[in-house]
Amino acid sequence: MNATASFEIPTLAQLLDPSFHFMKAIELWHQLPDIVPIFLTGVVLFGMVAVMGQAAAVVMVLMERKVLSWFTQRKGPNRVGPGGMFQTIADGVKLLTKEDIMTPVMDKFLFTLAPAIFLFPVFALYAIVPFSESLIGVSLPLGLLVLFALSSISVIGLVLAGWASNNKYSLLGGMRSAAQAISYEVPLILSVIGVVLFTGSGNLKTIIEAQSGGVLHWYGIMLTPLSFLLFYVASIAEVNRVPFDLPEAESELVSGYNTEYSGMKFATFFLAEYAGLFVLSALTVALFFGGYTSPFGGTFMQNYGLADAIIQAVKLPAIKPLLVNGEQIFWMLSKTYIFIYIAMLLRGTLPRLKPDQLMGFCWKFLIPLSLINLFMLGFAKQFSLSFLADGFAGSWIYLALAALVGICGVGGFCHFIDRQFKAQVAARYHA
Amino acid sequence: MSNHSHDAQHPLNAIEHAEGNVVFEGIKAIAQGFATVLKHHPREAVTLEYPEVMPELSDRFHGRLSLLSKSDDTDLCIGCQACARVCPCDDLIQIDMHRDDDKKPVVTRFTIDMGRCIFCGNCTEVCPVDCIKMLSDFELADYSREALVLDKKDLTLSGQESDEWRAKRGYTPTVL
Repeated sequence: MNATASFEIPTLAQLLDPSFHFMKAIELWHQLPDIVPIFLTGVVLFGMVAVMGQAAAVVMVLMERKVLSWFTQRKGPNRVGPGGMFQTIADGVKLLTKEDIMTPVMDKFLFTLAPAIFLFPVFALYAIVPFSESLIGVSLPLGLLVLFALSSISVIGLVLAGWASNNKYSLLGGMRSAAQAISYEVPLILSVIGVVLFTGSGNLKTIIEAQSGGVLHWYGIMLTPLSFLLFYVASIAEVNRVPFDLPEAESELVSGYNTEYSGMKFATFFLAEYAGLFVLSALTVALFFGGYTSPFGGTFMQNYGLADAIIQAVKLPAIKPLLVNGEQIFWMLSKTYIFIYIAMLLRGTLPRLKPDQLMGFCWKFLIPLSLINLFMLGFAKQFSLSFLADGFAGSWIYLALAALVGICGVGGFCHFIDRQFKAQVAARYHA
Repeated sequence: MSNHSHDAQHPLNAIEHAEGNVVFEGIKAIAQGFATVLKHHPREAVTLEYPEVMPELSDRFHGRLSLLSKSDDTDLCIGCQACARVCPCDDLIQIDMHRDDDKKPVVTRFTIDMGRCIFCGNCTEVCPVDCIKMLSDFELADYSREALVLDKKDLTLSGQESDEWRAKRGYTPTVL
């Protein structure tokens, strides 16, 4: 496109045609100096992360209250807006305008800093979550490493909140959260290593592309369902949700680390918790359930020529990536919300663990099991390399062998745990 | 240690005394819990949204006190002070009465301070003519304490209303 062409006066027919303006905008975009699109992309991505984080949390708080009320045959919030839809917004306005109470014995600087330290790593995590093939903040080769690095920072916020409050309940909550987060990080990472082993990459987009063949290629269904279970349990513990919500156990610690918080600082904690649940559910989907691909492989838009048909109908070839990405976002978000629903189901079902049970479950059960799981996956990977070369029939032998090793390993471990447990119970009853 | 900690039959100890593998028994127990919770998801909420839907209250509900009348709209109350004496709330019920020329009782003042009433129902039990009764009206809130002091005009039901009340309860008055 030469320079003079862009100054031509458009005809009335062109002005009334939306596709003309669309093409003009794309043309202008390409004429801008390189730095402007890069800068604008950064601004837009940051804005998107901020807005999506807030919006997801707002939706999830309402969803949590509604879903829990349905489980207990109640109606939940139903006064603000149609069906109580604007309840969270009303609550947010209330929290924003509430007095920010700080007692004189607090460490005011740390007390103010703690919610921010808790919130920002969680928001930063949105950057590595691939919502579609284009809608991803940064596609890092070691995105998973960033995930674990950032998710460990959050706990400092909780410990600081507990310490700065100068309150025994808060301090207990903060210390519990430190112990819990450090312990459950181990099975969380060990369970993901299996996926990395098979994909050969720590990039979330590569991991999703490796599972793009539909349900049977999803790691959580076929290859490593145990890894998925371990990851999900550990991630529920990482975001301090029931049954692992000891840091804020309201029946024993008032409200744990956020006992002394009010107003916007409390809202920040609340927001970060839900944002964290959203991110970890999204990562569960990305790692084990095909991320943004449909359950039938790829996307409908590409597989069945739907995108081409729509482009033919509206005569705008430029919207093809928009259509494909739109469908991918749809799959990603719907799968993520299924896992959020499951987290709410967990909250509606299970009672809270005792601190010793929490630690015992992690160190005596989850960590050994994830090590066995990792060993099995390494074994399976080695077999797959030597047998897959023989073609399809060989891959079935590999699957059968891997399944045999898996059943032996997990079965043996469960038997061991059972024997230990029975011995403990027997010792207690005969003492 | 709570009482059930050594009771093998207690449901909370089911996992400890399970026959099978403790891991699988635990998974089974959690799955049963999920099934129970999910079963409740599609069920209709039992909530009654109060201002729009009024609760169905028992006939014996202890609500606002009222004075029944005879069918011809004349006072049933004989001013005997029995309710005022039996009331545990001191001077909650205040009654002034005198006798007319035929020695018939005439109640000139009957006030009840609903703000202090504890809804024990002693007055309704003791009334010799079954005049003072409790309705199922529970919306008694008002803007001041003074407004909660109901006088005879506020308390008295008309003859027709009283008859309806008696018919609803299958109630035969002692004196009419």
